[in-house]
This record gives sequence, structure tokens and C-alpha cells, in this order.
Amino acid sequence: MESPAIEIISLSFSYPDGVPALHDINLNVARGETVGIVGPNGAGKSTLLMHLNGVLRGKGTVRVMGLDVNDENARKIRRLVGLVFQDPEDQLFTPTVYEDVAFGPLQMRYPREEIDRRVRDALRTVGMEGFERRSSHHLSFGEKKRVSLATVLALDPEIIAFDEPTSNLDPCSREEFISYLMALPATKVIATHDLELVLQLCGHTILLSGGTIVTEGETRELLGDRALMEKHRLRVPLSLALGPR
Amino acid sequence: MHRTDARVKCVACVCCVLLIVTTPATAVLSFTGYALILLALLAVSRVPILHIVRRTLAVMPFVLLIAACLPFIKRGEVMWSVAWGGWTLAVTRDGLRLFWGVFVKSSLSIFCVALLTATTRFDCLLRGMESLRCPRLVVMLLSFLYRYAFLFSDDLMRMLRAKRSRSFRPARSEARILAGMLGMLFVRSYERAERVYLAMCSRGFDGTIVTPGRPALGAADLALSGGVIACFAAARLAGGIW
Repeated sequence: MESPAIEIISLSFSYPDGVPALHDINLNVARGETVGIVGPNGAGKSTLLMHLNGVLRGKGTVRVMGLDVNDENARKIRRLVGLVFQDPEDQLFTPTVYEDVAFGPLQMRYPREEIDRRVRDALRTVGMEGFERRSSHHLSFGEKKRVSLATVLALDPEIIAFDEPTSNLDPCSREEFISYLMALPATKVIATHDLELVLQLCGHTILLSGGTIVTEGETRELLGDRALMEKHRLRVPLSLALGPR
Repeated sequence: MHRTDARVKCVACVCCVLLIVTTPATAVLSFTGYALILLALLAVSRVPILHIVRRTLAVMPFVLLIAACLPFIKRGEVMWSVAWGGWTLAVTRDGLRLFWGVFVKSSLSIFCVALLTATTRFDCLLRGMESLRCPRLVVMLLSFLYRYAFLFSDDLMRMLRAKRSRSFRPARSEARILAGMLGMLFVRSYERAERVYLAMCSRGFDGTIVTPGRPALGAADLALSGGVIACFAAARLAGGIW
């Protein structure tokens, strides 16, 4: 039987200052699935995402495409799981767009021609071809978000985890970014407060609150539960509350 | 000139600066030659002269601060002196010559570097430095500095604006607030550094700095830099002293 894309068993994590962030997380994500993670501020959504590629390590087991997330598999895991950070300024840390997108392939020691091809393809996928020599600082926020996605796509990952992918985007840029997300064939995990986005993209949703998984289930059903949503400082998405018109 | 490989431009710049700083202060003809060559390069590069002058002037106060005391501390033939109490302040001929030497050499050297930075993109300059065996860690730090300096200055501007929008205190009490803001800026930059490190690790960074290889140098690039160095050497010879 094919292993799930992500398998998490009894994961708990506390920050070095002792603040607990995740408690007994158990989670399975099937290959090719798009899963939403919703929850109030401080629920542990970003912390959970950072466990998927092993940049944070807690107690418990995290498996990605059948591989245990550990030091031995670190390089493979980083290639398999792409992480798109909330703030593109954190993700774009080199002087030019080309260098940012080429950073991952360079770390994988791909040959020069292969790196150039991957950069070209990744930028084309997010509609940013021709921006290679531009400085990331001089891009608009929407463009930075798209280049951030390209930095991950350049490694051709099997799983992409997004932390607040649509935050701070104007409506047009948001729509554009969502269209790029929809076109990606990879398994996607999206942690966000944008419940309309979850409703649009995710078949399955997990509600995380206080570092634990409160419940999970079919997206429309979970997000439509007004009492549950309000109990965890969330709201039923407007499109769901108003119903089809 | 803008398209010339950064590596040869860096080497040419270092050679020219070395020729300038090792020229005796009395070789006025050499200095005139250097200035004319730099002006010719400026004309070829089509960089506005004001841009270079402004950059040069921005550094000159630091040079002048150090050089200003030279005419007074160098011993030699006294040209002018003033006595005050038990103290005598004397300007010597050798001191003035030394001041002139420092002034003209630093002006020309700074002009040289300003021309290099004005005709070379910063990322190309970094890659050039890296190819010339400058430590990769230094290149990486400079790259981060370049990337995030603007971001932190934007952060500081936003904080200053936020302060101004709800602060009506007299200027003398501002120092404490400013110190607090700088502390906050440090904390924010520290936190950002942690997030950037996580982003680097997420894309496979394991502590080893990997950089792309560089293409071979073109004959035209080599000819241009060789020509510039030869012109500088000729100007040095014209001064008559090695």
C-alpha cells in the first residue's frame, strides 16, 4: 500500500523557553490531497508546518512520503517538502530573484544547466519570467509572494506547505495567487485565516487550537459549524453563511 | 563598461588604487594623468559626474578628519605658527606636503571605487569578489547586508512615523525614545535573522555555502582592464619617479 504523503504520530513540541506549542498531534495527509489548517492566532499552525520538513523537531514521529524526518534524511526531505513562509522578505534573502530561486537547486548540487532550467521553469509557472536580474527589494508584495513560491517550485517538491499564502495581498493578487496554487499538482498543506481560500481549495480541513487538533473533517461541514467556529475565535466563511444565491 | 565582467573591473580597480597610493606626493603630473584617465572612463561609462562626485564627497569628511592634523604634527620647516599660553601650534612644509598627498590619493582612490560601484551591479560585484577568492562567508554577509539594509531602514522609518504620530514631547527627551526604538529594531532584526535561517534550511542549506560557477573571461573584458591598468602605469611613469 502506498504510504501517505504526510504521517504524524504523537507529535509534541515546546519552544526553548518552555512555551508548549504543539501537543499530541496525529495527522495523515494522502498524496495529492489539499488540506487546510485553520485556527486562531497562536494555535501552532506555523510551528506545525515547520515540522513537516524538519526545520523544527519535536517529540513524536513525522514521516514524509514514507521517510522519517531525521538528520539522515534531511536533504531528501528538504527536496520533497517545500515551505512557503508567510513573509516573503524572510524567504527572499539574496540580492536578485535569480539567486533566490536558484538557492535550493544550488544546495542540492545540481549542475549549472539544470539549475538554470529549474529557475526558468519555476519563474514561468508563477508568471515571473524576465524578473531574474531584478532585486527582490524592488518587487511589489504580490510579486514577492509569487517569487517565494518559485523558490520552492525550483526544487520540484512532492509536498508544499503554505503559511498564510494570501495575507496582505490585494484582491486581484490574491485571486492570481490562488490560481497558481490550484494549478500545482503537489500535495498541499495550507495554514491560513483566509477561510474562503480553504473553502475554495481544500477538501479536508484540520482545526488546530491551543496546540492540539480539535477536530478534522470535510471542509464545508467543518467550516459551516457556527458553534465550533465561534468557540475557536473563527467565523463561518461569508460565502457559506449566505449560501448559494 | 557596465557590461564588463565584474572580476576584471575589481582587479583593475585594485591595481589602479595601488598605483595611486604608491605614487609620491610630489608627482603632480602622475596625479593629473590619473584624474584625466578617470574622467575619460567616466565619460565612456556615461555615469553622471555629479553622482560620482556626491559619492566621493560622502567619504571625504572621514579622510579630512584624519588628514587635517597632519600639517601640525609632522616635524620640519615651520611655515606658520601661533603661540597661545605655553602652547605653540605650527604648520610645517613637510606636514602640508603629507596632507596634500593623503588628500589627492584618497580623492582619486575613492573616485576609482565610486566609478566601479556605479558601473557594476552589487550582485555582480559580490560574485566577482567571490570568484577572486574573497571568503564566501564575507560575500554572504555582504549579500545579506545589501538585501536587508533597505528593509531595516524602512522599518526604522515606519517606527519613526508611528512615534511622530503620537508624540508631542520636546526634542531633548527624544534620545531615550530613540534608544528604545533602536533596541526594538535590533530585536526585530534578530528575529528576522532566525526566520531567514529557517527559510535557508528549508531549501537545503546545511551550513556549506554553495555558489554557482562563473563563465570564462572574455578577451574584450581582459583587454579593457589591461588597457586601463597600462594607462595608469604610463601616468605613473610620466611622473618620473618609481
